[in-house]
Amino acid sequence: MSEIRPDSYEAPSVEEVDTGGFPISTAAGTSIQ
Amino acid sequence: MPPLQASSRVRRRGEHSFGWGRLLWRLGRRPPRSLTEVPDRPIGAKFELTYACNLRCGFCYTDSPRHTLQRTPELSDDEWREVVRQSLELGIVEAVVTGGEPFLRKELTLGVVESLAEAGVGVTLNTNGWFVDEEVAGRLGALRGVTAHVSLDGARAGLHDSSRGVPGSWRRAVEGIDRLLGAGVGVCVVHVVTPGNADAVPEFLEQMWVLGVPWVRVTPVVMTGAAARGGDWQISRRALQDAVDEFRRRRGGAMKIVIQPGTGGAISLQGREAPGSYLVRPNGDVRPDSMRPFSFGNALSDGVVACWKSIQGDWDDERINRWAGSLKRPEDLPKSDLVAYLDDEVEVGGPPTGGAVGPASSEQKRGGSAETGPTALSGTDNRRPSGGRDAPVPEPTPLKPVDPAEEMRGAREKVHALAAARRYRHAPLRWSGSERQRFVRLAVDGSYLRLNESGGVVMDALDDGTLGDAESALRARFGIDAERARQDAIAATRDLINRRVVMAAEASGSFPAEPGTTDLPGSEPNG
Repeated sequence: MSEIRPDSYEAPSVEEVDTGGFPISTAAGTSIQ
Repeated sequence: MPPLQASSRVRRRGEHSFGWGRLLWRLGRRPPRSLTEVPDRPIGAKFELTYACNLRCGFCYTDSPRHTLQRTPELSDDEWREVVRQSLELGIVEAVVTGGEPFLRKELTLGVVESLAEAGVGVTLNTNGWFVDEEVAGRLGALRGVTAHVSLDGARAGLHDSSRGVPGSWRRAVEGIDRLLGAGVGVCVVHVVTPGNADAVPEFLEQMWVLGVPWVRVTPVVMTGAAARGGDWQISRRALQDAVDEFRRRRGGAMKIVIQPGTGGAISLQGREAPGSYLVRPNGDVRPDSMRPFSFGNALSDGVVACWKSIQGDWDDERINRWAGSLKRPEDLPKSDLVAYLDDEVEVGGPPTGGAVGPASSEQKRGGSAETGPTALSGTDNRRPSGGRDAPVPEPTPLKPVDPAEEMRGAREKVHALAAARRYRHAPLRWSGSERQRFVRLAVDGSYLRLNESGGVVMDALDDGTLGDAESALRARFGIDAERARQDAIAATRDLINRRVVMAAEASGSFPAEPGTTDLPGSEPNG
């Protein structure tokens, strides 16, 4: 179990990743750099 | 040049004024669902399996409480199965199964829905939820393409039960909705808005959000049947729209809400927009839809094919056109001398041995045919209902006085308790990444999702877990307060369901169909 971090809390989010036809590792890497 | 499309605002106006609807048609601004000719094969069918209902709604558009009191005879189970078989053979792709309350004939209803769904027909099942037990929910959940439309008229029992005339009906409806959702059935909750419950629409929408309902349809009273007998049913459509807009601003679009359009569509375009579907009354009589009280033969004695051919030939009959032309706006409906579901249908079409020809007469309006006499059904004429204007109707059961605020608190607790205990599981998927960010691949379509840390916490909690588990997990991990955890868990659970990451634990594995089958050409808003 991780430590409790109320200050860093963000509401849950679920979003679709548009891979643009690339493999997910490429698309995800691009979008989080 | 493509035909001009009326703006949505102008189209909405056309729904509430029949004159506007006709003008728009003349200008070439046809509604998007319009058909210019009756298709060779009907697109859909509406089956009213029974007249009877266990509730006593004063606004019932089919006037079911009156028929329940009269014990109006209807087709047998075998006769209905034959009508449905012929309908499938004719090629329908959508169906509405309704009543009365169809689960008063439980085995028939389940069998009909199963045969339609297994044939690939999209099915909308209308029910008041009273009789939805585990068996009903489980059998519906095992099917593809079935959506249950459940009536619920308020955020607390007093509002719904007074609207529906029977104490206990709110509790039974809410529990029925919960069972359906738990079995993975697509649910659209239908809220009939009246002057008595209009103020509570915002609270109602909030409660449906908590309960996990995917679709809500709010509808003013349709002024046919019992509603045409009297009573004040007018509400402010503007206020209703404002309540829905405010909810969407607060909660986004994850719960789909539809405000049912007026009845202008069907009536204002009589003679212009061709029907694409047909309706079979509990006694087998066939009509084009709910709004037009004109019959085109009997599905049992004449056969479904012959009735559809009759609609094809006579749908723009001058008598129907005259009747529709005499109506200028929905408020005129109850003032007409021919009201759907209150008066008996006038036979305008029908196979050669069936309906009458020639101008409508007062004799016809009383239910008989001046030329041929009553249509014979299975060798008897005892299934033809008599007119309902002066018929006795059951009185609503008086409710015990309650404190509305206290009742509302109890309703909120009950709804949350039901939602919090519903069990979920993951859909077929794989996921990877880190604690702070995970990537999910859905097997259903190969799409990828990204979840943040708290999203991952909720997702984990819903793997053979409940909304209540997700609330607890958020609190335990992040130390947030109970209300915040509750609100965020509800929103995230809904999001994960909509995105097909999780499903009800008892679901068959298929995801629910879209909420209605009413967007196809020639369809009518079902109710």
